[in-house]
Amino acid sequence: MNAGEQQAYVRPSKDSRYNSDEKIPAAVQNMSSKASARGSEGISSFVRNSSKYAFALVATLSFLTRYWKIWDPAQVVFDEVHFGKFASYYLRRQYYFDVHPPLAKMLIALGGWLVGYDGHFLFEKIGMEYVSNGVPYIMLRGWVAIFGFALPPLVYMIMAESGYSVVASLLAALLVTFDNALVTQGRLILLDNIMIFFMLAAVYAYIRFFKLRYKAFSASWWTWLLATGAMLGCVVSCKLVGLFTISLIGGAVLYDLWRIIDIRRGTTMSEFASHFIARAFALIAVPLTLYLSFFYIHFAILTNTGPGDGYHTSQFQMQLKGNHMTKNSFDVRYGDQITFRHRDTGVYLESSNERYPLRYDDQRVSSQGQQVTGAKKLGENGFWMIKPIHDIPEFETFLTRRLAGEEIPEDELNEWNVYDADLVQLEHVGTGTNLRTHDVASPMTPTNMEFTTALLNDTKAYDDSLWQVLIDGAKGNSTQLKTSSSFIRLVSNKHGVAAWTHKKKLPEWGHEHQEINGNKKPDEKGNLWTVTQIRGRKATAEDQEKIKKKIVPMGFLSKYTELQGLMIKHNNALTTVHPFQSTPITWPLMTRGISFWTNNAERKQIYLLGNPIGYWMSDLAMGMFVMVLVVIELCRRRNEDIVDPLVKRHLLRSGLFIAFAWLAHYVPFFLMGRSLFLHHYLPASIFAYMMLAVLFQVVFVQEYPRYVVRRWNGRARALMPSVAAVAVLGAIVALQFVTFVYFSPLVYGTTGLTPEQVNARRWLPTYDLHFQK
Amino acid sequence: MTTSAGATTNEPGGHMPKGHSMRGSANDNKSASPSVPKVSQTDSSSSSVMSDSVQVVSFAPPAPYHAKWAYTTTDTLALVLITLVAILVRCYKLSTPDKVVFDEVHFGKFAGKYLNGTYFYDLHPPLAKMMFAAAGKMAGYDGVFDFKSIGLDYIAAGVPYVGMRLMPALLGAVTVPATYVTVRACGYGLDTGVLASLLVCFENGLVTQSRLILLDSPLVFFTVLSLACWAMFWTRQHAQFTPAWWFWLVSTGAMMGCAASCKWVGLFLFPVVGLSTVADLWDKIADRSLTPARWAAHFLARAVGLILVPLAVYLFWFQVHFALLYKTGDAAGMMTTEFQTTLAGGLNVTTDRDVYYGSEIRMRTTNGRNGYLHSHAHAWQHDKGSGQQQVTIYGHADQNNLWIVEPAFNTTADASNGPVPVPKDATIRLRHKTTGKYLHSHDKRPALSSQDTKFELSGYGFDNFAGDSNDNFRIEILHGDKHSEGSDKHVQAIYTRFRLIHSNLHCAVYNSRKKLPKWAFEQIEVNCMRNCMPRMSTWHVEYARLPSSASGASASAEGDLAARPQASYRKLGLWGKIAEYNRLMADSNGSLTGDHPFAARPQHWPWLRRGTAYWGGRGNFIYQHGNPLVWWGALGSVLLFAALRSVLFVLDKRRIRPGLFGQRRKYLSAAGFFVVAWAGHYVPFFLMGRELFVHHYFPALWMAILVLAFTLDLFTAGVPRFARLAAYFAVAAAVLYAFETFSYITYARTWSKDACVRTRWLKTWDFDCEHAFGGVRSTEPPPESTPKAEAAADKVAAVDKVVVDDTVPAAAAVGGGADAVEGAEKARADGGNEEGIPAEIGVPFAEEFNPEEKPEEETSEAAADAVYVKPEYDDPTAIKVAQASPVQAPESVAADIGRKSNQPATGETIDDKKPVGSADDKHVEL
Repeated sequence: MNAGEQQAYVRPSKDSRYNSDEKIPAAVQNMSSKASARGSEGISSFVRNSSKYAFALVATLSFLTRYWKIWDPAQVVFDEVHFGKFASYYLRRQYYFDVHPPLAKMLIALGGWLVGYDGHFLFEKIGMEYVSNGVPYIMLRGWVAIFGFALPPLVYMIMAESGYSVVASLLAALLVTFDNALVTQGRLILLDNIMIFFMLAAVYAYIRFFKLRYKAFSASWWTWLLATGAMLGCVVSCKLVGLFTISLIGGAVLYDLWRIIDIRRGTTMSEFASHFIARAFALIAVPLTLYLSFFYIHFAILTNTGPGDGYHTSQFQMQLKGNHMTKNSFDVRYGDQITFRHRDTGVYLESSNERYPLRYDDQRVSSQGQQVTGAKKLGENGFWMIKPIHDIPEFETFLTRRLAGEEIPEDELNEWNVYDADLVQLEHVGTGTNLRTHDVASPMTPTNMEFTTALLNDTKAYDDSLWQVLIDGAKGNSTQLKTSSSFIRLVSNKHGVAAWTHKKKLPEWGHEHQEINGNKKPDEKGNLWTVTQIRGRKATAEDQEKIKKKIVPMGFLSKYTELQGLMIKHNNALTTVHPFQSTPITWPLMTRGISFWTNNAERKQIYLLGNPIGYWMSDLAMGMFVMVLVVIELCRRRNEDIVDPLVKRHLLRSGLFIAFAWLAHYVPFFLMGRSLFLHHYLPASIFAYMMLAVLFQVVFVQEYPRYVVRRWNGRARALMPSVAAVAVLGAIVALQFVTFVYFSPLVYGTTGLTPEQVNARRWLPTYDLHFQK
Repeated sequence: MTTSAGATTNEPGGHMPKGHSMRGSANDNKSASPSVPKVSQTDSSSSSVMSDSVQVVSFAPPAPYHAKWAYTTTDTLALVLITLVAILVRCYKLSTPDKVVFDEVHFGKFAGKYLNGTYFYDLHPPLAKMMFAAAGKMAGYDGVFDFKSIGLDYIAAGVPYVGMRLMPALLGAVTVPATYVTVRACGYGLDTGVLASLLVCFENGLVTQSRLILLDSPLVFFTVLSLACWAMFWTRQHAQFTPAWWFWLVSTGAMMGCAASCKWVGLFLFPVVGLSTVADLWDKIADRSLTPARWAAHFLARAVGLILVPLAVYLFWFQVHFALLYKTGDAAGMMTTEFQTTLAGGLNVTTDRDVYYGSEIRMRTTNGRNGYLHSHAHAWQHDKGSGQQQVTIYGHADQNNLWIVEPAFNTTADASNGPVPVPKDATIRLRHKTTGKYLHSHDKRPALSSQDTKFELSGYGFDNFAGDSNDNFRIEILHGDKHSEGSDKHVQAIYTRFRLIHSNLHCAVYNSRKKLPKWAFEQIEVNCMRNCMPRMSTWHVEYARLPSSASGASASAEGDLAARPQASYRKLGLWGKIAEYNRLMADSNGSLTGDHPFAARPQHWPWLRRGTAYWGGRGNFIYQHGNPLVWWGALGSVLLFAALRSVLFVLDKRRIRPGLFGQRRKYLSAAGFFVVAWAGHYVPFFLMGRELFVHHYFPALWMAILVLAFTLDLFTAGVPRFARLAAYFAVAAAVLYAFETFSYITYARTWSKDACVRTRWLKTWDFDCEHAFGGVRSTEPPPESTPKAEAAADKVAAVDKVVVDDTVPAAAAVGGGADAVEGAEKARADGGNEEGIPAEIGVPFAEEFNPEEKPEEETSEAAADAVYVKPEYDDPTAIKVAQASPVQAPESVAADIGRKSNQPATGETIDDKKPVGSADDKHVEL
């Protein structure tokens, strides 16, 4: 036990708000500043400034790799289909729906707006030409590539700030510079660059903040704390993967707080409380506010109707200019002849003179009543007249007048409005029968009730033919039934079953229409219908004015809540099998890429593939790191320290942080049910590369304080620890670089490859590159 | 270095209590001098995240606190008494109902199969079922009764069911004294021990489960015994490596092995016991008085006791299992052919080894166990199908499984020098022997899939039509058999494993393992799938014969044929059988999905959202339902522990150490262990997609009940003894009251409707009072029409078994009672229930609608191959079908496909790696 460590338990000074017994960087700070004071004379200016040079080198190489022929290919590549399109919608101010939060897409749009792009192109298919369509794609890509370009320098800054040597930091940064997947992704109009940029920025800001812990509550402490919060807000506003970054930083902060609360530090509870509150404010309130603000801007920009309308409730849709609901929402009144369309499957409720067969294939017997089916196409058979349940003389006269085409004043019409929970009868216009359900098994779903019709004067069937119209989301029974904008359930008054249909088609006797039957769980979402048409009514300008006046404005928060719910729902529903999806376990092993783009004529292709050598090297590093930890800890249990305490502490602090960063951005994917892709691993891959540098540092940089640079532009005292270190560093970087260049035709898509060349690059049989033959 | 100094005092035979961990001593130091900051404690300065977390998370094994359980006569007395009570509670009215209940359908049947020696397959390991077989044997069951459906009468069939039920009942009874032992071994007193065992004894769910022929009673029994032994093992820490120490260690392992041999749920014991072992060994590393050799001895002892012993036990029971089941049976078809050859009366194939052009072959899926490539003269009837002849997989060998190997379209094999063997990578056609159609694939979706990587397989061809290139399949040999030379170069029956790759579509003939609809006779679907893994697309020839007429002019003698090399399956050894059986279990567990009405997800278990309906009689029924007080108390005490532990963590940091009535260490380590055990037996279920039931919670429930007992002990530790006893009595009385209340549905006691309805404390408890005690029951047919009767019948399918097939009528109606069942069955059989359908609509249109009238069989072979244009990705309904005449079909089809999907129409026609990104797809980003 040395003296320095013992002293660490003594509170250092009054002005630090909490003290530390074992803060490594504190010790490092001491030692390295002492050291630099001691021996700065004998060091060449090259070594002294080496960190700046290294940083410049990284920046230059990063720029070259990302911007190399950024204009090529002049075609839509992979998910530019989506994100280019979304940018266009922002510029057109048309509402769209996407599962990702809006920030990254708004940033792309911002680039387009700055260069005067008007959003006329919709990026419909991979391979569409940009030039002939007049899209300033170079500017767009160049703009997004700024974020991609910034990643390696940021990695350098993080490493330098975390107390690594110039060479280790350079190693990490160069590995990231020459990673094929990051370069591929980094020069196209995609979200991941922007997201990863904010992610690294958040990590960087947090490290700056953490290093200021002895100057708690100082201005710079606050600055970096707030910056961390802001960056976290931005990551999560790009993609919900940002939540992983939040969990990483959150975990680190909790651990930090856990140490602060330790009574041996002499922290009082009120001091602890201020620490706690400051962090809660900056890391919860700030990101949340930012997240919501971006949605606010999102709604503020997208004011026109667009392709995203259909995902939303009618109230939401009616907020958008030019929405068809606004155009077509009429009051439904008794006596109107209306059509019902099933929300989920889009079929119309229909009946005809056809009857159910007596006996079905499975030998069950039917009622042989008139068929009620769901038809894709709307015809005469789809019209139903909505009637009150009793014979009311006033209604009869009213109906006669309506049918005679008489002009009836508005007030009188309004007396016959249909409201939520009204009991009605539905008369099929074509056959003059009432819709009815009864206790007979439906043709294909024996557990559900058959739907059929009954003659108007059939008193026995009267109870069966009463329907309750339940409007979805109705508030009180003053809610009026409207076309287009109301979703309704038709629930049998007697049996409590709701009209329901499903994709299964009836056999030939039912003309392959859909089966309609009574669902015994009336509350299910699948029972929703809309009234689509009213016979004989068309929208007039006057009508529309009236409708507009009636629109209930929707506040930001309710709009946001609705959108957020839909995003989560649809994100989880992204389970469609994609030919290039993959499982998380395969990502670090780099077993398969994603085909982004192909050009058949010139045999060019872009194929997202991580640098295989780099991936495998960093996997190895991860494994070795765990082994090193286990060995160190085992030895400690036997009270034998085999590693220098400073090196060990740095390893456990910074090394573990990076390891957890990797885990936090990787492991949660295993729990996700949705389709996953290799590019989901990109954030984690950066931390894996850093891990390689960490291990390099542990193995080769023994005399730890001599090599530390504390800033990207900080002063270095020494560069290369040993010849072996130089050799290993050179070998790793050279391997990475050569592999990068070798696979670069797949990154840039500028050179066509012969089948031999393609096959030579299929290092694993699972690399399904094109043009193998 | 003080921490490790503290640890060094912990040596065997030292003055401190045995098993006293380093963690404990460090804490003691701290509490001794709470106010003095320890300047010298540098250990924590080098402590890492990892070591910190190890120190704070207590996986403390039970009873590290009490060195020894001083066993007395009072203990004996208590044990005897509670055992008697437990036996009484478990065996009361054991003979009611005298009908097959719930999953007795399966496990009774399996017991019978053991007695007959007939092979069967079940997704659970064999031990519990063999125990039932043994019980049945002793009781005089002859294995004839087949437990076919719920509600069948035992008495009439002369089944000694009481004897069979007695076995689980006694096992269930033993868990009660075992609970007592566990609690006592954890260092708790007699009173807490008795209370805990009463809580277990009067838990309705455990009682219900242990009175029937179900696997859970043995499982819970072995789980409880494992942990009881483990707790006993920990009381022997002062005498390590003594016979008693070894006895409890090995017993723990043996019991764990038995638990895992009952149901795989028993495997959850391993991480639980493993964690506390690892934590203990990790502590021991820091003990410098322990030499590395001694530590290694500790390590090895545990490895033997907790890994090798269970493994040996598990394998042993399988050996017994296979020894008992020596005869082939219906389920043998699920196994590989190598497996089947080991069963008496099972498959025993000998065939010509070499496959020639012209050979008749029968092809079998190698991994699918489902059978042979099959075709028959019926057409595909699905929406987007071609209407050509069906090709399926069929389990039984018949004439329709025979295919004739022919050379590729427009080529011939030169047979002048004798028959030509089929080489590696040969392009062949397969002609169906009985119908003459060729195995064919084309750009059509198969019957049960809409993915655009899957294509329909059909039989295609007719007179005067030579076929087309879509009949061509390439033989891709995966591997041969190393014992048969040349089996990787040429196709050899049995030895060569190969795939069939369609020449134009580059898809492999693939066993989808899905059951086709009735119109395809519920055979198994086979299709052609692109980019599929080889597992389900591997085939081998099981039978090959070159007909003499086809064997060529120069080699026509029958003698030649007979002299050809023969091939037969190799018999699978015991290890191979065990491995295959376990793989199959893993598969079927994974694919066990269903929609049993009483299936329940894990989040609904602990708070007793609802139970499971087991059986319904007249005026009584069995509904497996927990004792709510016990369940809620158990859950509450687990949550309380978690909360308390978290608060204590934080307080520790502030050096505030509540003593918890002097029970702190005992409570934290004993309750801590069982909370971890509870979590280990509960949380993993959340990750399981398969169908789950409340009874999966029972092992975890037992652990939570112990925590409840410990918690009650903790909160009465500070009060006078009489108050404590009074509290215990109050708890026991309340539990007893609840037990009695729900005992009606536990024992199928006769009950009244009012009492039944009153007993539904929660709205979600759905025991069916209306049906069981409804007025009109036995005399009248159910006044139901079809839907309800169907629904009632649907409610009952037996649980926990190989995929519940909803097309097969389930047996009995729960709550609805036997009559409802009969009604339902009748309704199904009659195709409707005469009484059920109102007369006025039953008749009038009978003449107009002839029910016998069926759509004409599609005979339009001439419409033949169709090419579809791929429209929008997500609207499969918009697929347009363009007809192509058979004359132009052969070559143009492929070219068409190429053109229409924007592919270069090169000679290869289709590149199976389509350069699609996500553009066609929905938006697939995260």
